[in-house]
Formats: sequence, C-alpha cells, structure tokens
Amino acid sequence: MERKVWEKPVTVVQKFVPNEYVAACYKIKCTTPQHNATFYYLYDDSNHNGTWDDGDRLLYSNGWGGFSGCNRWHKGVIRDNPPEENGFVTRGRNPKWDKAYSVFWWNERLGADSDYHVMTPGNENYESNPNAS
Amino acid sequence: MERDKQSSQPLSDSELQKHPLSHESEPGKRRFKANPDFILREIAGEAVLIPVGEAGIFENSLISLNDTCSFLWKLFQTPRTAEDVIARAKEEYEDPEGEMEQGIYSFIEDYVKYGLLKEE
Repeated sequence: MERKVWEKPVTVVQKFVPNEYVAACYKIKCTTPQHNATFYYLYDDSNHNGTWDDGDRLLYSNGWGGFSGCNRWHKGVIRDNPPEENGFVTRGRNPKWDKAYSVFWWNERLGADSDYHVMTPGNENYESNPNAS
Repeated sequence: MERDKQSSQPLSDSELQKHPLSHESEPGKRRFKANPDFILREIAGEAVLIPVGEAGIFENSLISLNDTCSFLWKLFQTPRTAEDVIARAKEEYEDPEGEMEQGIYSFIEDYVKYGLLKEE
C-alpha cells in the first residue's frame, strides 16, 4: 500500500458563543374576560405602556355581533416567553370613557372565524406544554 | 573513618520529590494516553474532537484535527511511548522533509500541556 506523505499535525480550536435562545410550546385557553363575554374591538398595546390609549392600533373589530374567545385550549403555540398582556378588548372605541380589559392576543390560523385569539391573563389560562405538536 | 551521620538519615518526603522516580526517569519510556473526556468523530468529512466530560478550557469549542493529528490521536487511544508512535507513523507516512519525529514530539508536548493527552 502506498504510504501517505507526512504533514505537520495541525489542531484548530474554534470557540463559539452558545445561543441560549429557547422557544417553548404553550397550551393557551382562548377566552375573553368576564367569563368569555362579548366584546367588539381588539387593540394592540402598540406603545407598550399597559394602558389603552390613542397610540394603540386596532387589530380586529366586529361592531355588528361582537366576538368572544373560542373558549377552548389551543395546543402548540410556540413562543419565546410565557404569554403576557399585550393588548385590550373593549366594547367602544373611545379610551376616554370606554372600559378596556387587558388580554394576551396572538395570531394563528386555527379554523375559527378570525385568526386572532385572546387569552384572559391568569396562570390558569396557559400551560407550558413540551409535548404539544 | 567515621560515617557521616547525615548520610545515614533517610530522605524526607520533600527531599524525595526532588529526585525523579526511576521508573519514569527515561524520557523514551514515558507513555501517554488520550484523555477519555474527548472523543473523535467525523463530521462533514472533518475529524473533530468532542468533549464528553470535563472540557476545561475547551468548553464551547470545536477542535478540528488534520489527517496526521487524527492518526496520532487514534494511536494514543492505548498508552504508548513517543518512540512507538514514531515507528507506527513511519509505517503509515513518508517523511521527505524529515519533520515527522519533531512533529510528533511537539504534538505530545502540546496535547499534554492542554490536557488532551495524559501521561500514564
């Protein structure tokens, strides 16, 4: 067998920075506040101040019949962080005198009338579900 | 002639440590073995050492070996002396530049220094 030609032994060490990003799978109950009551407008807390005001963008409205949550658990919602309040549902459009209720909203095609879904804040309405698919 | 009283006293532990132990005093007989906390794998055609235990300074590192390095690493999976490895390398490789022996000594020195090889 023909021998190979010797070359200088070389070891290359490359350091890398581990990426600690972790996305988890959540099971979230789609339900509006007040025991899945009817609302007419869904707003995004666009200015991230925790208060419904003119700086917030209207995401969805159904001024005719209103909307409520699917009232069921949706599995396999992949997120970087646990769901937390990021919007509001209201029955009017004026922040000066209409009341707003904080919700967590997300957008996902799940076969409902709208691709928008909301969760009423509270630990009982979501679970971290590693087995969700 | 009277015996020097000091010479009849046994050496203390600290004094013993200054003298190399006889069974390891000849450099040619020193044996080395690859650190089992690193295993060799081929990934995408490249030989790579993967830390599987205590990685030490090699934590979060990728250690790539060229062909001769990989050959030497495999030899050191069993304890060997430098001379034994040189003899094996001469069977496997031609050495037109005459750099093989020095290269192997340097490999051993560096790998021992960084904990990849351990002296038996």
